[in-house]
Amino acid sequence: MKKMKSQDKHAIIPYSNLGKVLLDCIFDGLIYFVETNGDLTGEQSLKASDENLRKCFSPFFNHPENIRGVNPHFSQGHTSKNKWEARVVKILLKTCIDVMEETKDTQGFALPSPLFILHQILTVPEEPHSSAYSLIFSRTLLFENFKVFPEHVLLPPKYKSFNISDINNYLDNFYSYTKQSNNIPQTKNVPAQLMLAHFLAMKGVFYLRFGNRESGNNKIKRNKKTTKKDRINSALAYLSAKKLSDDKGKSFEFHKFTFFEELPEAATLVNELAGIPMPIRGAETIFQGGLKTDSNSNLVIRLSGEPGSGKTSFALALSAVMSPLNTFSYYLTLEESPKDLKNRLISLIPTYLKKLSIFNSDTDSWFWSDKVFVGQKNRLDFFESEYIDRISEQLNKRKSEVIQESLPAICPLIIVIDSIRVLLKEENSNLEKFIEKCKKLNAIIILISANDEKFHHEIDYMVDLVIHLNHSGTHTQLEKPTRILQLSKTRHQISRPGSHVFHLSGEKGLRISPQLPSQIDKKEKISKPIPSTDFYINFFNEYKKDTILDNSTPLSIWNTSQVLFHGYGSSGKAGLSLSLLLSPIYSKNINLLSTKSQLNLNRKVLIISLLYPENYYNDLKSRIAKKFQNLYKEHNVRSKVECLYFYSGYLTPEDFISRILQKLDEAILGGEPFTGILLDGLHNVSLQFHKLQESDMVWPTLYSLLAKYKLTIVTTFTNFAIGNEKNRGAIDDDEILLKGHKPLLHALVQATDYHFILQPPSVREGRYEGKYIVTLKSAIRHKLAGEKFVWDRELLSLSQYYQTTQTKIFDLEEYSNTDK
Amino acid sequence: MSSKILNLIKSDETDTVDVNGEKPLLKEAINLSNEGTREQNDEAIIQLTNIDISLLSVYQINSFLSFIYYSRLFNDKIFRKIDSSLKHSFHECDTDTITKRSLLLRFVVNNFSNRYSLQEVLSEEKIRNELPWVWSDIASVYNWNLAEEEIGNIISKGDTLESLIIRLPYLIKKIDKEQLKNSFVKWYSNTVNKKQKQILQKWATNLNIKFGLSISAEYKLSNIPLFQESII
Repeated sequence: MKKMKSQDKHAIIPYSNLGKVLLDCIFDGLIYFVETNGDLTGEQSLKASDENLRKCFSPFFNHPENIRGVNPHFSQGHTSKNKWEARVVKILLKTCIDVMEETKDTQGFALPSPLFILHQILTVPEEPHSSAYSLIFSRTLLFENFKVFPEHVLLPPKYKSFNISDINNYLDNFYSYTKQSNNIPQTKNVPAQLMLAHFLAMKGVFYLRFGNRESGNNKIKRNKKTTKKDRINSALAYLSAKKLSDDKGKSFEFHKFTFFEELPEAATLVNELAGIPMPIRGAETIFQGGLKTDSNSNLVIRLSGEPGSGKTSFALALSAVMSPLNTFSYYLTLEESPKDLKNRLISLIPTYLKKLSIFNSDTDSWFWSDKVFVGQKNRLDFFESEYIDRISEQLNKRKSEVIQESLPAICPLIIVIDSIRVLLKEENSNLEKFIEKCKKLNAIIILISANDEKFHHEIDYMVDLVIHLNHSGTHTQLEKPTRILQLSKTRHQISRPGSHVFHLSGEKGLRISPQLPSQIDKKEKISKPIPSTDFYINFFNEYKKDTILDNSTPLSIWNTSQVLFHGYGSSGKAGLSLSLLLSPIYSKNINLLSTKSQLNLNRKVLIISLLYPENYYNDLKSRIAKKFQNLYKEHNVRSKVECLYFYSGYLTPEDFISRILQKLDEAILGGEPFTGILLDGLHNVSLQFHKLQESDMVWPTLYSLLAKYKLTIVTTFTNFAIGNEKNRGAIDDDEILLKGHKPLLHALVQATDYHFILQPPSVREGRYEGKYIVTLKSAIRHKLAGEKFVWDRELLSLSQYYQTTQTKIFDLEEYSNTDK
Repeated sequence: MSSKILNLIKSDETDTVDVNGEKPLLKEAINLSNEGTREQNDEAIIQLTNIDISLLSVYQINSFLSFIYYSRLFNDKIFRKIDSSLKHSFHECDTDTITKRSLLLRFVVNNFSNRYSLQEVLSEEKIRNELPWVWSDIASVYNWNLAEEEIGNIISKGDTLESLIIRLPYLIKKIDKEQLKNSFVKWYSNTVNKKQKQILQKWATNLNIKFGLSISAEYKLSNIPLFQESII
């Protein structure tokens, strides 16, 4: 592991050595991609296994830090056990193809920002919040490249500073460009604006669109004669230079991805650019991008809570995850012994962090604790003069060493005072003066305090940030205790205040499941994709011999649409849903299909199971795969299924949604996003997941968040029936069980492009005994309501439904019964 | 002779006087002091050493010490004897008054001082006014908490602490460093003027005690990188 030299006065940016090498490799990889696949003919579609493409990344993988066996996330995808699964290559291809899909109808040639690819690769897929470390590298690269930096007291003279008002202006400029032609030029004369455009490209909001330009009178005009080949050459020239921006700033413009409805808010961008990225799951959501200090790196936090609520652990866990940012944590304890604290700290370091080259296993180099001895009198004065003043003295000595070229460190120091109440035994303590001194330390000061409303009332207006921890449900045996983090004040930034669920454990460390509104807010700028008309699932037509692969197919399930299967009894809804989601997709656009064939056409389904454990679905998947081997011989479909099984119990809505989103984000970062999601057994929420059942917002939130991902979403629900078979669906029963049917109603209201009902055959349909009738109730862009299919859950096969009486197409009476 | 002295000690009550209005024990002691030959005195010492002090009450021990003091029969052997018995006696005591008194007596024995009469010592008043540090000094021998408290009281009264400076090395050598540091912090918080603060700081430095920021923390803080390495 890398160790910081004790005499080294400079903080080392996470991944600084590796990142530079990786960026060069990405440029090479993009060149290879453009050379082999840029014309989109599809004849030379790239595969992730392409040896030449892999070779582009050899310098990166041969870097000493990678050879030592650390940073396993670079080579391994999140589900892969192979050493060289080439996650980096998959991400490169995936991002390039996404841009191609975005620009398919235009004549332009576009690529993702190399930083966008880099940012994803440096992030540990299983731990999306580790993007904080990656973000530090990427943004520092941008700051140094464009010689700009957020307002800071220690800003070196060669750098220009920018603030929130500048960001607002730049965003306004971007807005006006996007409203006109969506061409955002490189503004070489406004380096901070250019940096911001690159930053947005790094976040995947913008992509780079190439083309030859001519400039005149400060106006850039498009050369109408520019051919696609010219644009490709322009891209190759840019990539070969291996610089973020070309010297003249003419080779490309920035374009906004259409799935971003709006640009991010200026305040969020300021948090991301000037704040401290928080490597804690969920913290990015609640702090909207980062923890913002004042321009002097000062921040005073009140961290309070009842005994056992996790205050000390919270502060220790924060120290651990901040250590790769070269943050030194000084823990001043009035209660525990330094030795005990050290042991607790070690137990709170997340397992994944220990495997990264950016983590220093020598904890003494980034954490130190001292037991504070105070007398009975003048405690605060004593602490102030003997600790705060002397820390200040030490740090001030260092400030004289201002180095002309160097940027200020991200967060040099965290000081934890545990607990502040012990220092305030006397009435005459001058707390205000004390906190003012704390605010001059260029550090994050965490003042830990037990529950004391009077004290909190006094201190809250002085501190910058207020976090209160709570441990609810500890007073009754009927509840599973839940840790709650209440964020109530953030002086220097916008944030998402409120009560959020949090967890503390050694293996995964500190993690927060933000409250539902915060989780929705985070994705608000991303538009809900309209079901894709380019790609469709032909599943419902496959059984017909005369299936044709064009838009006229009778019932095509459009890709990224939402499907609901519900009905009474065990009709094999999971098998039907999974068959649908694992079916290959077709496209009208053959080129696009070809390009995507090796990546996007592979099916990967996430099953959210509230019903059966993973084994059940693995078995089902194997049976479907066998079936498909014959059915889709020509497609060579590779499919993957992953299951997120929730045991019945005390699952909170926040954790439920967080875990699902985490899984989806994980797969994107792994280079293989999910193509479909199956929410199986929603009815099981009733009575078994009482916290989900009680929450009115869990389903709307989940569906609205899932809609932001490019996924085909299938929901299954088994309707409840009390009484005998004949009596099923009776109005009385439904009224009794209305509460249990809530998820179904939500699914219907929120999430249904295709609505199917499954039921056993009626008496008149005796010929289908043992099978189930699948009735289409409604379908987007189809007028086929009432069409029926026959589902054999044992054989996992769908067949055509034949009417007994040719004239009778639709049995209204029968249909309305099932509707209930 | 020892039985005679022992009887005298046992019968010696504050208000017991002989026909001449004198305390018999004191009289006997003075007699021994003035008249006893060297051999007699040696004999007396051997016999006094044989007295089992642990059987005596605290008050009787006071009388015994008083006797030794005035009879000038004091030597190392008897000192050790009394010392060990007093330790035992001290541990038996559970009230503050008796503890302090025992300690005071211990001090008298230890210092063999002629500056104060036994009455003066026992009354405490004079000692407390003229030698405030004595309390902490004697307390330190058996009970550091008492010493810490007494010094704390002295400091909060604004004492210049000069007397304490002289006594301090003796005081400190028996105390665990961590405990001493803790005490220093408490004393420091009791200071009422800047001079006292400076003196305490100086002591602490001389004794290699750092309160407040630890040396390790100071070193580490002085090495925190405030700037970051360039990555381009």
